[in-house]
Amino acid sequence: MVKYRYSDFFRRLNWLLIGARAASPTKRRERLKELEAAGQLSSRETNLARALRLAGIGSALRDYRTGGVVWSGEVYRILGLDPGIGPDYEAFRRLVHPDDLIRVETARERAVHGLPDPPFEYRIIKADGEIRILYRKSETVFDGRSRPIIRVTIMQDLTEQRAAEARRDELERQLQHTQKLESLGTMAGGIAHELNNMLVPVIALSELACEDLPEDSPLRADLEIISSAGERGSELIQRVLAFSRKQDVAWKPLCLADVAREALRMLRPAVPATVRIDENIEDVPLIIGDFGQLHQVVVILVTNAAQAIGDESGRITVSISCGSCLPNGGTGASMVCLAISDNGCGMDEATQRRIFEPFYTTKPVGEGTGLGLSIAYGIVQSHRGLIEVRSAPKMGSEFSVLLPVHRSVEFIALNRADSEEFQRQVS
Amino acid sequence: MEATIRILVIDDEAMVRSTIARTLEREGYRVAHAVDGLRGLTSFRKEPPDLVITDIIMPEEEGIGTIRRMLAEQPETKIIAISGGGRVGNFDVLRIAENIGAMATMRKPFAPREFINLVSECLKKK
Repeated sequence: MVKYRYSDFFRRLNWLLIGARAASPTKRRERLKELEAAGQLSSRETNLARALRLAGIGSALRDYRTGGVVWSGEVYRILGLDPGIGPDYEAFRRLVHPDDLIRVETARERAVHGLPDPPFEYRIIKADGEIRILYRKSETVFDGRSRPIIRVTIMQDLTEQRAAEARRDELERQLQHTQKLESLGTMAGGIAHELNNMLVPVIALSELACEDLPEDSPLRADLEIISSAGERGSELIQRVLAFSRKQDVAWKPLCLADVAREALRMLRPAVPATVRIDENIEDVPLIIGDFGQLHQVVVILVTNAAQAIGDESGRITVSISCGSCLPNGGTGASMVCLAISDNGCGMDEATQRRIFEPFYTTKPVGEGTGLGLSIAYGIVQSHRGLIEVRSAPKMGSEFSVLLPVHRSVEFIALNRADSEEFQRQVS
Repeated sequence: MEATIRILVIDDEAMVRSTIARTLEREGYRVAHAVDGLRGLTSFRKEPPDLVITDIIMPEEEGIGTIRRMLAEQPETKIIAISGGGRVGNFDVLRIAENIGAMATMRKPFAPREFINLVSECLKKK
């Protein structure tokens, strides 16, 4: 018997049986109905599979009665397996991340025994080494004696979704940090104004009183201490103000290498002779920025590096490169990277998390304001850049500042290259 | 020494006013005080000083408006603007003061010698 499908007047699909044994009209009608139902079922299955594929959801069906297992095409795609091998639990098992394997196997065991099997996420390592995050949810169908008959499991790849969530969390964290800095800045500005007023008599009157005293008066030393304390207070306030205000910046095309060289020229005499400063400065494209502010960033980072080395002998390396030290393999072509590394005391993770917070310091009382890195952070942010740290206790630290090459600078460079090429072709 | 030279000091902080007054009086200047711009203007109109030293951020009448009014009434007025905050929001108030005609500016706190030198220089200028 041969079955043909045909479309009738109403464009419905029907089955035409040729070579079928003659049967009674009633039986023939029943048989036609069965085949029609099978056809509709098959069409629904196709549509369901299509919908699941569009949603990126794979499904696996396990029949406990027959031991049969069916994986949808999407399961093979998600796992990166060849559909030709058929459902292969061992092949799947080999992909599961070792840290998540117990969880996956426990869920499978629980399902076999008819125990509740809550949904969860796990990781797989694909053949090319890529780690993907998968979501798994299953439902078991039981017979009248509560024995599992069928289990349907869905599998969804959430890697991109989780990465987007992580990016959003990071942005939210950065926003919170910025808001925190801004509110602290506003508060600091107000306090600074009041303190500056209070310091006027402290500094002025102690100096005037000192002038009135005879040279050998023991009170002179006391007044000098008062005056010097007032001046230190005033310096601290200037730092707080520098941190709190949105400074007027002079945006100009500049070479980060020039900024670093200038800052290092100023810093060398101030750094202990036991600390060697190595320069590894490449030719990099111009960026748009404020020379003074970026100079301040270099000064802060090199000073911190020198303080991390302390009285020991050590080495600071200041490097400037183009796209060679980017985080997470980011787009390097349009960034300039300033990296300042030292072989000093380094930091643990808890410290690294807090170093950009204003007033956070690990230096002894009186030796640090805890503002340097938060000022550097603010400056780098205002230049639409990134500042990152890599460190470990006793292993030194490396601060990387990534600043974007301004589009207009790229444009000029591109035009210059085009123009040179054009000149070559013409001549 | 400079008994005839009269300086008007406008600042809402009493301790700043008295410190500036003591510093100037030691040098022989005659000092008048005002706690804000409004009272400063009254004193200015009543007896024009040789030099005005005014704070910027003050209640009632702040320094920028005070400088504008004084210069509108007496364009030759010599004014030194002083401020402890230096900024309101994103504006550098001392730079604004200079732009509208203050002869000099100084940030608080200051060393008395530096301050006296500035006063003396301003008084010498024509």
